[in-house]
Amino acid sequence: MVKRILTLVWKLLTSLEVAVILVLVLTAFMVVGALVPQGMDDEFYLKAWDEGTYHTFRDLGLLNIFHKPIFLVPAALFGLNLLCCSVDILRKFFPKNITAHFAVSALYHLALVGMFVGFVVTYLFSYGGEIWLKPGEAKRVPLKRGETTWARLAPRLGLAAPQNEETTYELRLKSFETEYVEKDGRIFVKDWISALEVVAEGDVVAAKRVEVNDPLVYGGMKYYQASFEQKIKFDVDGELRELEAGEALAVGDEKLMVSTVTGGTLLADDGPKPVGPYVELKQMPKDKWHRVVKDVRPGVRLSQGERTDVRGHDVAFLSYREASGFTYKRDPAVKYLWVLWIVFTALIAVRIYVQESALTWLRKED
Amino acid sequence: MLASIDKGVYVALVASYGFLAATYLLRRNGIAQLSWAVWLLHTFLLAVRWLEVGRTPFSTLYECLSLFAWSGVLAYLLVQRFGREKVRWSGVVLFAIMAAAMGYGATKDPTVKPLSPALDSIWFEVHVIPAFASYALFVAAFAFQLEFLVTAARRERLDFFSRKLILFAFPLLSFGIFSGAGWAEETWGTYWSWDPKETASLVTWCVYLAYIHASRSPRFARVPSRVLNILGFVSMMFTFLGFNVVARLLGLPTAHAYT
Repeated sequence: MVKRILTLVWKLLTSLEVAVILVLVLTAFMVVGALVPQGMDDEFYLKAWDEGTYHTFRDLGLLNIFHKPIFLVPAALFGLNLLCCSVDILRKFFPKNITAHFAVSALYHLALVGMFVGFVVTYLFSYGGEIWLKPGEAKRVPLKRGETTWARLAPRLGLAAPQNEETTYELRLKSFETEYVEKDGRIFVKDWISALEVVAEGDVVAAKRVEVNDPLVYGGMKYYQASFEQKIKFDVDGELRELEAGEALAVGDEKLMVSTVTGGTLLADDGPKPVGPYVELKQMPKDKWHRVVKDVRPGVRLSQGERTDVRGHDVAFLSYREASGFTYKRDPAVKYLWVLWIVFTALIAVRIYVQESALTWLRKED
Repeated sequence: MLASIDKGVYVALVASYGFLAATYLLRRNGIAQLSWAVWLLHTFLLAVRWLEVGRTPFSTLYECLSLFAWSGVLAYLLVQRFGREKVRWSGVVLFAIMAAAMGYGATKDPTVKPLSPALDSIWFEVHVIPAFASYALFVAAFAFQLEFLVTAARRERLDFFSRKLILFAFPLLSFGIFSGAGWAEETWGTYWSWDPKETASLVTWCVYLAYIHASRSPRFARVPSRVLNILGFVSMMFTFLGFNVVARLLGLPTAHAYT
C-alpha cells in the first residue's frame, strides 16, 4: 500500500503534465502580480483606489502575492518537480544508456534546481538598506540581519534569530560630482560619481569612485550609487528659503517649480570643462502647478549668486548642498547564481543549438 | 541630413510592410524577392540610425520597434527561404504586425538623446540583443502557427516550423532575462525585484516553457500546446508594447518604461 502511494507520488512528481500545470498556475499568479502593484505602502494604494477595493485586495493577499503561500507553495512544488524530473532522467539512463542528449538535459534541469535553491537563499538571508552621506561625512552602516526572512523564521524553529548590527568600519564620502554631455545644444547627465572611502580604525582601507553600474564591494557588501539630494537656498525679497529640486518656490502669488541644480563637469569633445552651477525656475499654472508639469511657461535660468526680478519680487539663487544616496546589499546567493546561470545557459545552448542540429530541420524530407 | 533620411525611410517602411501584407493576401508572384528587397532597405535604415546616434540603436521605443520589425522579418524570410513551404496567411499576419509596429514607432519622437546613466553599460547590448532575437523568432513562430490553424489542409510542417522556432528562441529569451537580472544586480543590488515589467517578461518565459513541455506530452501536444503558442505571442507583445500603456493606465510603478 505504502509502496503504491509512493510510486503514485513519484509518478506525479516526475510527470510532464504536472510540470506544465504547475508552470501555468504560477503564471496565473504572476499575471496578477504584474497588474496589481506589489509591496507598496498603504498610502500608495489609498491614493489610487477607494478604501473598499484596497481592503478586498489586501485581504485576498494580492498586494504581496509573491511572498504568500498561495504563490510559494506551487513554486516549491515546481522546484520539487524539476528536481525529481532531473533525477528520474539520470536514474533511467545512468550509467548504461546515458547519452550526451540526456546528460545535458538532466544537467541543465539540475542547474535550474540549483538556481531555485539560490532564490530561496536570497529570500531567507539577503538584507540591505540605504545610506545618505554629505561630502566629508562618515557613517557606520547598519547591518539589518534582524530584518531578514530568516530572522523572522528562526525563533519559530527554536533557533536564535540574528540581530541587527553595525559595520566595524565607516563609509566616508570624499566627494560627489555630476558629469554631463552635450547634444544638439542641450546638456544631459552622463553619470553621478561618489568618491567613497572605507575607514577602519582611522585608516583608509579601501577607496573607489562609485558610479551608476559600478558599485563598491567591501566586506561582503555592495554599495551602489542610487540617488542624490540637493538642498537649494534662495533669497526672496531678503527672506531666506531652502527647498529641494521639484518643490515650488512661492514668490508673491506665483509658484515657481525649482529644477535640479546643474553643476559639475561637462565632458566636451575638446576636454572636460566646468558647468554651472545654475538652476531653472519655471512658472506653473496657478491652479494645478503641482500636477501638470508639461504646462509650464518658459523658465528663468539663474546662476549661483545671480538675482532676477519675478513680477516685482527680487529672487536670488544663493547656494546649494548635495548628499549622495547609496543602496547597499548583502546577498550570499549571488555568486552561486552567477555560476549556475552560466552553466544553465551554456548547457541549454548546447542542447538546442548543437544537439538539435542547427538549421537542418528546415530541409524538406525527400 | 541623417535625421531626415531616417524619418523618410522609416515612414516608407511602414507603407512597404503594409503593401507586403496586402501582396501576400493577393498571392502575387515575386513576393519573396520583394520582401527581401524591403528587408534590405530596413537594414539600410538601421545602419543610418546607428551612424546618427553613434551607439547601438535600441534604446527608445522608436528604435526598438524598428529593430523588432527588422529581426522578425529576417527570421520569417529565412525560414520561408530554407523551408520552401508555400505560405500566405503567415505572410499577411507577419507583415501586418510589422506595419502596425513601425506605424506606431513613426508616431514616436525620433530625437537622439544620450543614454541615461543606468542604460550606459555593456549590459545594454548583452540584454537587448538576445531578447529581441527571441522576439523575432517568436513572432515568426506565431505567424506559422496561425497559418497552420487557419488553412483547411493542416500542413504539419508549418506546425513543426513553429515548434522549432520557439525551441530556438527560448534559450535567447532565457539569456535576455537572466542578463537583465545580472544587470539589475550590478545597478541596483537586486537581481529580481518583481517589478511589473520583469514579472511580465517572466510570464512570457513561463508560457513558452509550458509550450515546450506541452508539445512533448502525448496529452497536451496538439490543441493545448498550440493555444500556449498563441498565448505566448500575446504575452510577448504585452511585455514589449502593451505594458507601457497598461502601466500608465493602472499607475503601475516600474523602472522599465520605454520613452
